[in-house]
Amino acid sequence: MNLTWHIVKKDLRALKWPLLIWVLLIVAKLVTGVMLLSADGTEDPEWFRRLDALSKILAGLECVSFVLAAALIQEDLLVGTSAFWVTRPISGARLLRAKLLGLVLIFGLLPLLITLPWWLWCGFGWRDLAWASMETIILHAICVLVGLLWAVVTDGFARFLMWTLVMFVAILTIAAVVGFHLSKLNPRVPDGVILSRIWLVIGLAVVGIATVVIHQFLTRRTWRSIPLIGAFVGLMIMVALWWPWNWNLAAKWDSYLQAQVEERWPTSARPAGMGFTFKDATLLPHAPGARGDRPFQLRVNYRVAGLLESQALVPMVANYTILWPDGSNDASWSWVRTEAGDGLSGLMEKKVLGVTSTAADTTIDSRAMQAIPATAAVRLQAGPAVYSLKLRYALMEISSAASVPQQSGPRMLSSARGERITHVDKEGEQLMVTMVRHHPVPAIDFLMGVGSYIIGASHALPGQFFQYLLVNKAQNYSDRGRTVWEHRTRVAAVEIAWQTTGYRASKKGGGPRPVLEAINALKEAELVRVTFQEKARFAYGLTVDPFVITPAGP
Amino acid sequence: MNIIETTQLSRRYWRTEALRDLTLAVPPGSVFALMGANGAGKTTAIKVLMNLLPPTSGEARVLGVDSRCLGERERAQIGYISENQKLPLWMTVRQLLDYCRPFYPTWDPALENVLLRQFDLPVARKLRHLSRGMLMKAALLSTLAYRPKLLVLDEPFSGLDPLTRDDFVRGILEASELGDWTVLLSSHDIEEVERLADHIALLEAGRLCFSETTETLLGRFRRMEVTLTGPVRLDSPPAGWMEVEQQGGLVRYIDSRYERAAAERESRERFPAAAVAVQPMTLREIFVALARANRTQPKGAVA
Repeated sequence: MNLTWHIVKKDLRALKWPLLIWVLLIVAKLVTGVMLLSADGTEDPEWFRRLDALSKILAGLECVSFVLAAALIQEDLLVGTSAFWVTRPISGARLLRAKLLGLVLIFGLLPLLITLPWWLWCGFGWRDLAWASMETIILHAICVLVGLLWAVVTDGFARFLMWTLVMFVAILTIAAVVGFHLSKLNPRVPDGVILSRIWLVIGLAVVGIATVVIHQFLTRRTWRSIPLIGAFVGLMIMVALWWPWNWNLAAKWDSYLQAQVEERWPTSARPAGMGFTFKDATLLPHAPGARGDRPFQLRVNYRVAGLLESQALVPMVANYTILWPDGSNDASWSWVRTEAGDGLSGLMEKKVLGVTSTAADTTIDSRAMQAIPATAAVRLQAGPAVYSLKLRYALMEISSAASVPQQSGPRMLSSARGERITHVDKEGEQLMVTMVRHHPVPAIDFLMGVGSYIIGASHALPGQFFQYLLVNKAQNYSDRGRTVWEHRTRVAAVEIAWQTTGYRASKKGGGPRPVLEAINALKEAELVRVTFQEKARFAYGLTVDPFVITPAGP
Repeated sequence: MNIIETTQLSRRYWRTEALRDLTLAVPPGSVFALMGANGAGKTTAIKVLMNLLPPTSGEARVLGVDSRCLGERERAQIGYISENQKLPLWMTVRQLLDYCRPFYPTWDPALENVLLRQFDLPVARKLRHLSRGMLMKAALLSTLAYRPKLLVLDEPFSGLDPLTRDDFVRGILEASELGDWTVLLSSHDIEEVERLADHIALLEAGRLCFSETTETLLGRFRRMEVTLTGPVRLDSPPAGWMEVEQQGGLVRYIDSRYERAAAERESRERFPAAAVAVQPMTLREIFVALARANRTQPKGAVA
């Protein structure tokens, strides 16, 4: 181990300057994040966009780690007969161990250590840290694997770069050819099979690279490694074209997610007296942004009654099942939206203005939306089915409502979610409040959808969150504001959102020209921060049998 | 046990046969020179011995181990210096020594210091800033300091100016007095080989022409000059004669199988009333003669 470590130290010394530059790139990216979170809010949107672009460029430059990985390997060449190490008492296995240790230190540990203060500053919990770390490691592992393949079979940096370029061109070409063949020759490949093929090809690529690297380190027989690469590429192409089996990966992932979600939403915790009633259901063809395999949107309207005056419901992830008469079913995720706001507005008004409650306050109309396949849409229109909706809610109560100064303030941190008023300004009859918010966003959210978000980030279910109102008690008026400008970016697994909200202090005005009374009303209005606290979290199963679609109007 | 033994060792590069049926033995304690023209197969032979290249057929044993199985233990007893070796040029001389030291249990710090003084190397200077001669000395220092059992030098004098070459050879000679080493040396630099080697093997187009001690080699080659007193026919010279020429009453040839008594007897028989002058030959003259003979005769037929 001592000698292995001795080789690692030599490599680190040899690459100290490129490594330093790489570390500075990571640090610079994090500095842009700190700047984005710490700015005083007087900057114009262009400043934000520039920093956003800079952080993205720096994050992209981080991927030059594949070049660094290659440099690390080629510090002791595996091709040719002139390398220094081959005539010294260093076995291929020892060199492999040393290089792997070096790669883990440089591309695993080092970025995590550099980024850790940033994550801690952003309030990451252990779970967020674990996901963000895993994401960082996977990202760098991909770059390193790309670098390793050609680094072990080329005898210099120029050849490494050339073959890497050739590989990218080849991948694009092969992907285009395979895609063309799939679309022309075999157009009815099920999505599940395609997904299985993609994962299998990725797996083969990883196994292939690992095999070539290990083989090359242990034998240095390049003339055998090159055909090995060819064999794996051929195998990958064959799998991409002809793999026939569906591993149901999407279904397995979904069921895993559902199991995770079930853990967090106990059905038994539903507050007493609360009821859910189905109203109607409609079908919307070609929903905007719909997935190719699920082009229809099924909208199911329902009503929630029995909510206490002091409570509000925040809908979380839901999932549906349509059971067909023949026993088969279609199941996936649903998105829930309440029709008349989210119930929080009424609650806040009651709290800050002392508004008298009405019967309507305790009833909420909601809608569950789900993307369904065209075949399911046809079957729904043809006849009844059984529809089940598993709803999940957080029951919230206001824990405090306090006036805040109309100026930039300190950061409010609730687990890994943070927000800060950065700038307040009066503009005509509106109070313009600029806020910066941040929360962890693992990349898996983008890749795998809403379910991953729930699993990956417990902060997605905040036990506490804040809302802001501009309250004019003299006119018995409060305003939640309207977003004037918003920009989002992502720095090292943290989403940063800059948002300027315009609040009005009077019902009057709001036209193309400012009204004097509305301008004056701003003087007597106060900005109130309302803190919501989670009181309960529960799931409810809504079943509709028979489930019939309401025909669409002309 | 011989330090190096090869049996029918061959190595092909695609269609080119770089080494063919090489069978030789390097005895312990010898300074063994592999000689031959460029492309004769010297470097290929050494690379196969060092397991830098696998043999196409045949077997090589180094320190009693199959060359394909040379492990860390054996490598710790072998020193290898080649003109083509890529040293870590970003290191200083001191860093190179510090890097190499832990790999060798037999590393001798005292010898390292002696050699540092002897080679007069600037320890704080990066290798990339050293001259070629200095670089070779640094490589030699990092190799001699652990007292290898076997020192392999592949064209070590190539590209060195005479002064540096002299320094380098002196370094090897002086260092060899400090330990009991076997040296395998490949070179086409005849003068340096003559100074260093006690065994010589000649490779020609991948084949071994001969392998013997320097003393034997120098002893069996003689330049003969015969002054005739009458007419003599030279239509069938013996097998060991080379470059036979006659100018009037003077016959000159090189006897490659010279043995004093036999040579005198044969001279008397062939040239009964002639005066025979015998001159020893230098290694250079022997190799020039062999190279000329090789051009005119079938391959592998010389010596």
